[in-house]
Amino acid sequence: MNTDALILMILIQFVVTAVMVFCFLKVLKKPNKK
Amino acid sequence: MQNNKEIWGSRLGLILAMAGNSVGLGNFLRFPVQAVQNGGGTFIIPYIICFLLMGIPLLWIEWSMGRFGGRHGNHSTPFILDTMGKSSAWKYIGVFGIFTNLAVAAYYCYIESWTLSYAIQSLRGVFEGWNQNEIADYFDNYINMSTSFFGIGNEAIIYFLICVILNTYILSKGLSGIEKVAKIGMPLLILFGCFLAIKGLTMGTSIKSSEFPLANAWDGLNFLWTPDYDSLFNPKVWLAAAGQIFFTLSVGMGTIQCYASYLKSKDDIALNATTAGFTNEFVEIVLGSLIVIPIAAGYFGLDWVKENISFGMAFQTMPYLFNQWGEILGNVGGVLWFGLLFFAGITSSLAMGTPWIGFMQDEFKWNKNKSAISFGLIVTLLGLPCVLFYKYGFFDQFDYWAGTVSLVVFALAETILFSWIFGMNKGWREINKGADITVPGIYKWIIKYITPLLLLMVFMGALLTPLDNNWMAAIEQFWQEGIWSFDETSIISQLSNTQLKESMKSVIDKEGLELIRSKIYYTNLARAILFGTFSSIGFLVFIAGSKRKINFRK
Repeated sequence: MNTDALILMILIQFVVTAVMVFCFLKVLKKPNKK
Repeated sequence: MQNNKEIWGSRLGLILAMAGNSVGLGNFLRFPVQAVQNGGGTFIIPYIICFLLMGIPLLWIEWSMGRFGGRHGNHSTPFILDTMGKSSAWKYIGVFGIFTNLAVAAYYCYIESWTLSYAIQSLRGVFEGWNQNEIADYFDNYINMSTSFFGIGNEAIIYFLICVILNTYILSKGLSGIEKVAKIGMPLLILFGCFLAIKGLTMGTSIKSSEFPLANAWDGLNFLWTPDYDSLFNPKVWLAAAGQIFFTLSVGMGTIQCYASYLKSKDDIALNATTAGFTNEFVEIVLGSLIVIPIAAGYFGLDWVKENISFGMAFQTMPYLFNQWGEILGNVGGVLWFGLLFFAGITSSLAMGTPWIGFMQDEFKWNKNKSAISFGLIVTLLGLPCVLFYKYGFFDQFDYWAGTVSLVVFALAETILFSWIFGMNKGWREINKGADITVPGIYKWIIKYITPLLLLMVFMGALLTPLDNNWMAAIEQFWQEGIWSFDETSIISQLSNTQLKESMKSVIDKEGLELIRSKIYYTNLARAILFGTFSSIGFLVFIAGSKRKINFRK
């Protein structure tokens, strides 16, 4: 796999996953507040 | 109006239900097709930009509208819009938020039924040892209904009815039923997706064949993720990216407003909507990009994928590719693939049932069972012609007018209502009320100007799609000769059945001519049914509005 593709893939997939995990962690801090 | 006092059981359940509403078959099937057809890595950059400028703002708008409407006892878009707008005409625009769901659910349940049927067939090991042609033929026979199920009629119809009954039953349990399905379905979907994605990532050249000696799964990933910055200046890529964001998030349907209307007035919107949106993006960008393309490229090679990738590949090709993994793993792959598609499908189709149910409960005081059964009956009535006349393009008409055009029209209207009529100051307060995150101030400006502009761009793009989707050539031709050549996929060409009329000219045999005549007939019939459905809902909204006026005077 070429370097540009690998960097773009890892970067975007990492950022999307990290934001999702961050949001879920924040949600789970106040699980009862809808 | 006060008949409906349900609330969500838990915050996690609400977010998973909202994410389940967005995550659909398109995350695994439409996204890779769009990415491949629009230059691979180039597509991803406009896609992310459109997510931030159009997707996230639309999620906040729809969540806010829903919670605002719910505060006034409204759980479906006609009267949510009515409460926010100054003119009574808005409630008729809100009809889109019920109509779209009924019409889309009709054909969506049909696709959902394919996934259920294929998951069961994979579990039974039916596809073991079949070659590519046998698997492709099986799908053709399935949709043309030449196969039977234990000799008791047509498999396609039976599985479709099973799906409708299942949806109706879950919907009759109310929000708690939807929440349970989301809490089971979404984690399973992610688990199945992770397994298949890891296979896609690690396959490399392990299943290349003598027929395709150069096949390599990494070529698929390379193509999908190699950036080509020149294509960023191609309007076609931007339109495709905006369209994909739009459809993947299930905005413009009225389902998000309906789900959000069951929130309490101080519940958070900003964080919940962002979490649901990013969960959808995780499923699409991380899982969706690592399954179909690398697995297909790993066996057939990249050139084959570029030429053949389509929605039907999920059913006509994937079972064959799983067979290459060996007997047991092949069946497991099939069950996981069709299982995840089924969960993606059912969490979305359940959401499509709620606006109708909310409307009937609010306005006609129907209980959950009666509303859910009526939804099931409507979906069956609208869906059966999609099943029976699939080969005549009946299904495609529902997908085009209800599942594509209506969404864009409704999203554009609701965005204008929210930011220009309801007012951005009030709207901004709604978004930030009870928020667990600070929404960046720039979004006030983005929601007011950029999001409607992008939506207008998507709508104009669909209305005026130029020949072969080549915008550069079309603009140049228009500039020089004053002529605009429409593509057969543009709304204008679709309205005049250009494609079918053109094919009629080239067909010389009687049988072919008869088939095209039938297609034109069923195309027009589908449109008439859609128009009739829209008008009937409009009439119900009129009755509900009159009843409200009488009650108000009392």
